[in-house]
Amino acid sequence: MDRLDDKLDALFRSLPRERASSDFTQRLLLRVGEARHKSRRGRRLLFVAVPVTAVAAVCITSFAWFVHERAERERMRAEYAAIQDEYDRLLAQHDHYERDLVEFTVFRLGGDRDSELVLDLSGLEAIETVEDVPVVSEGKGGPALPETAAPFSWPQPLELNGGTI
Amino acid sequence: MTQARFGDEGAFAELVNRHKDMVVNYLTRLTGGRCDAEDLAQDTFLRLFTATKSYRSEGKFKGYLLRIATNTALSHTRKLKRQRILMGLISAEPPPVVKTPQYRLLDGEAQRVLAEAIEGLPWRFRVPLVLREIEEMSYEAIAEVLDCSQGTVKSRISRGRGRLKRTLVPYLDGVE
Repeated sequence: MDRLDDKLDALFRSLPRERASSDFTQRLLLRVGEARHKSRRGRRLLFVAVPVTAVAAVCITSFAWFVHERAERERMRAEYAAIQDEYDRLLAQHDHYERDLVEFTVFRLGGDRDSELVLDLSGLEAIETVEDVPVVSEGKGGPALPETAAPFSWPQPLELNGGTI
Repeated sequence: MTQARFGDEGAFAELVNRHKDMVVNYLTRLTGGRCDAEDLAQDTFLRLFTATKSYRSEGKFKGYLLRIATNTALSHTRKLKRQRILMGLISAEPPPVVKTPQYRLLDGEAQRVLAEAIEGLPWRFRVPLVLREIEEMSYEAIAEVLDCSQGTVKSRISRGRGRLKRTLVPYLDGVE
C-alpha cells in the first residue's frame, strides 16, 4: 500500500497549479464598485425611507386618533341629548304628579245652588304611630301571647227562643 | 488586510493579487471545474470585501480566506444539487453531467481520473484532503479552517485517501 500512497502523492503533485485569469482583479474590483454603489444607493434609500415612513406613521396615527375622538365626541353628545330628554320627561311627569296630589286633597261631597260641600284633607297629618303589643311570656309550644289578650275559649252555645244553636 | 478593512481599494487589490491563484486552484480542485472556480473565487473575494469589517486578526488570514472559499463552494454545490433535483422532477430524466474544459485540458489520463475521483468524494473528505494534498496546509491550519479537531482532520484525510486509492488502483498500478 505504501507504493500506492507514493504514487497517489506523486499524482497529487503532478496536478497543474491553476492560475486566475489576467483580468481577475479588474473584474473583481468592478463588482466591488457595483456592490458599493448598490449599498450606497440602498443606504441613501434607507435615509429617505426611514423619515418618510416615520412621518407617515405619525400622520396615520394622528388621523386615526382624530377620527376616533370625533366619533367618541359624537357618541357622548348623543348620550347627553338622550339623558337630557329623559330628564325633561321625568321633570314633566313629576310636575304632573305633584299637581294631581294637590287636587286629590279636596273632595267635593255634594252641594246645592247656594253651597258646596267639600272635604279638605290637606290639613290632615298622616297617623303613623302604631301601639306596640306588650309581650308577657314565651311559651314553648306557640307564639307569645299579649297580657291584655283574653285566654282562648270555645264559644258557648247560644240560646235563642228555647233552642240552641 | 487592516488597510482593506478601512475601504482602501488599492490594498484590497493587492490582497486579491496575492491570493487569487491559490483560491482559484483550491476551488478548481474542490469543484472540479475551472470556470466555476473562477466565478466562485470572485464571489469569495466579494464576500471577503463585505466581511472585512467583521474580520478579526486573531487567526491566519489564509485560513480565513479558505474558509470563505469553502463555504462559497459548498453553497454553490448545494444550489447545483437542488437545480439537478428540480430539473429531474421537471424533465423526468436527470440532465447529463457536462464535462468541464478542465478534463479536456488535463494532459494525463491519470490526472483526469484523479480530478474525477476527488470530485466524487463526499464533501467532508474532499475539503480536508484538498487542503492537505493540494494546498499543503498543516493539520492545525486545516482544523482551524474547518473548525474541528486535528484528530477529525487526520481521520477524514485518511479515509478520503483510502477511498481515492480504491478508486484509482487500476490507474495507480499503471502509473510509473
